[in-house]
Amino acid sequence: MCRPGFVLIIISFCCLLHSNPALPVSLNLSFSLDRQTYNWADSVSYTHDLKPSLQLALQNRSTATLIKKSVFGEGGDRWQKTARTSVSLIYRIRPSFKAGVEFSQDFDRLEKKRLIANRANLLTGFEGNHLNFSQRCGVVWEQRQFDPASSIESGLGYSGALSIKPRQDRSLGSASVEAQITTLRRTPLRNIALNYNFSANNVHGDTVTLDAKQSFGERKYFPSSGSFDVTARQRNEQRRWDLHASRKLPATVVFSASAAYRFDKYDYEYDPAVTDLVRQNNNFASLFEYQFSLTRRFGRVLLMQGTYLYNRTKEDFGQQQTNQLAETGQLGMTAKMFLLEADTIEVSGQMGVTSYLAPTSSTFFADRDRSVNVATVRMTHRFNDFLTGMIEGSYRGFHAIYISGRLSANNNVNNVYIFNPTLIWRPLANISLQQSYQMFANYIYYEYEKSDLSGRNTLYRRASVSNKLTMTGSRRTDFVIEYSYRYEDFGPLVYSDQWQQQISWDRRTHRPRVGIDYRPIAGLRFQPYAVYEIQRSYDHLFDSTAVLGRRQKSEEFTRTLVGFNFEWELSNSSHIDCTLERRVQDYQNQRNQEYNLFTISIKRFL
Amino acid sequence: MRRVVFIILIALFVTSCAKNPFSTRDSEPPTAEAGTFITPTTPQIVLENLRLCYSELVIGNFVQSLDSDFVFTYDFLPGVPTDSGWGFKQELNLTEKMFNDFSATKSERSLRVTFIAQPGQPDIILDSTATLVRSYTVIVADSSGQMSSSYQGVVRFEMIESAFNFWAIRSWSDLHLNLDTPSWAELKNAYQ
Repeated sequence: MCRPGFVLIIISFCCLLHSNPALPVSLNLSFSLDRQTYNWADSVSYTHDLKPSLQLALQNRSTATLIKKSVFGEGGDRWQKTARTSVSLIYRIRPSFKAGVEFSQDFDRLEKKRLIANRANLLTGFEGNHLNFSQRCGVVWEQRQFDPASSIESGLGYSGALSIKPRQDRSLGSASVEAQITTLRRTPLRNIALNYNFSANNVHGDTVTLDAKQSFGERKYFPSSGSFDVTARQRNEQRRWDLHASRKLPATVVFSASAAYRFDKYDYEYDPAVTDLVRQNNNFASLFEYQFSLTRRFGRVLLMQGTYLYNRTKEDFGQQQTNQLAETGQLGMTAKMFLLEADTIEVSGQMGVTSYLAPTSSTFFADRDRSVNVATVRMTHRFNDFLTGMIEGSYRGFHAIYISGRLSANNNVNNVYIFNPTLIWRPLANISLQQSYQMFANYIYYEYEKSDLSGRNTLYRRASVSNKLTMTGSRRTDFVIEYSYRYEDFGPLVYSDQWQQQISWDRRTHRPRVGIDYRPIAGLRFQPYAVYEIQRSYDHLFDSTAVLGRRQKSEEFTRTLVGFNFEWELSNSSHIDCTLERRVQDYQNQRNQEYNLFTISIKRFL
Repeated sequence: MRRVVFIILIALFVTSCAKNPFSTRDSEPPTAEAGTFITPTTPQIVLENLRLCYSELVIGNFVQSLDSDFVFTYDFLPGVPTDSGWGFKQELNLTEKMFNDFSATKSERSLRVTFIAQPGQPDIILDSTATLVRSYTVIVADSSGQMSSSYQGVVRFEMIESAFNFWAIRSWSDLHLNLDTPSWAELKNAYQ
């Protein structure tokens, strides 16, 4: 079944090697295979100057996915294909003015569902110092098919963009208008968008930027699959405002502020025959957000930053139970200290609360608060040229609070602690050893079950160690040997003055890996590797008298991975990547599972 | 003088439109049983949590099943010609609306999800990534338990285990079982 893909790859490979580099052509071929799913994503574009002022351009972009029938049980193989092809011929009448013609086709197919849209357009474009415009006008022909029903429409189409820049240095900003209209009888479309952006800065480094966009649109479409009898109308309005400013204050303090506003509104009108299942309510959503920050640098030793973020989102769907309002307030602090040339300390913290508010009262389910606290400490110390050490410690705490009594039994606290030291050794010029350790503990307890022996209050612990030895055999070859070990355990917590854990199960994983990084010539890289993994799980069984559980092996799992990565950079513009991996895994009491993963991509740009 | 005015303006703005990052609201004492959330120490538990939070309508448990870089993709949606998916925030918003909607009419209708493993698609679980393919049925039933509508398809979950978290869904790809049967994406899209 993958034969067409391989044929395509071979043809493309030949084209890549034998194409004439003098022609401006861009080629991108990608194929991947993962068990029953095959994916192709290809694009090619070619431009050729027939005369100094006459240019021919061809472009094709396509994707295809084949899913084998086993994924859908009784169904057959499924192909999904999309493609866009365009050809244009453009004549530059003056240096600032051009005109031409363009033909394009969009194709979309999924089993018996098909869309073909053809367009023929006249193009004009003007590029001036203060004003630019481009426009396309022509005919549109669309065919939709959903066997046995079909719909064919044709009409006129127009799209245009006009941009104005009153001053070359943009000191008054720049503005643009974009419009798109198609006059198909049953599915017409109208869109218009207005944009304005402005930015300014001075010699002190103070800056201000503003981006604003307002758009309106209206379209009709077929709301149901398989039926072209009824249409629906959608009207939309969108606003986007973004403002950012920063200013240097006395005592080397930098103040920066940013604000954003978003507004989206959709209104729908349906033919009476449209079923409720596909109907959507009129709705609007708005977002307002601002952030202030103060940054101060104390010489070369210390950098401190404080931020405050506020966010408010509102959604209105015309139904009480689906409307939403959420507010977030978040405070953040970061301190970075450079003690000596060899030492760095970074401390950061963040705390915030998000409130989800029901429109009327707490009788609604999702009326809740969520509090998040995060703290991180990172330290790096360079002992000497051969040894560097890093330590990272983190804490993250979540607190979920449901206001309604109908859900408040779910109120819980989730605390995560991580300790992560790393050592990097370079004992010899051609040998490096990286050792990293991680300890992870996650406590979850439910507020209204704190004093009970509840299976829902739990502790999960994880510890892992990873060693990676890299030996440089020659300028072209590195040998990599890795070994990692991971231990996990999990069990309920009991609270009596302090939390105590009762382990329910533990799991141990060993994972050795060997690999070679081989670079025989410049631009060519070949990386074969092999990984073996064994994981054993144990249940801890308790009887009435035992304090510690009795361990009993519950599962054993082994896996072997063998594969390679291949990269070939033929030139600055041509690139081939290929990966192949074979996996064999064996669960206790199950038969072996074997499968392959294969991807290849070929790119060429000129 | 300008600086003082500037500071006063900012202070006024912040005090009129701000939220305290330190305080949370008090909750009412529980009047119902808590939902079920199993600590997702394996990718398969994530699917069990997903199934449970759909029937128990607990949005907080649903959020814990998603990674912050989550994406949802679908093969097609009637009347949606261009988009092919959405991200974490949209997924959370629409699911919250769906859960609120079903919660408000809980005595009249319920939501139920069933996953079935695919024989030719074994789970692929690597060091910190996993791929699980399942066929599914989402059933909306009335108060007597009779099915009022159903959504069927095949879903491919890509999951990750992040350093700060447990297993969570990074990518959720929804495929229609066939072109005539509505899929999960259609149920979700109704709450977009």
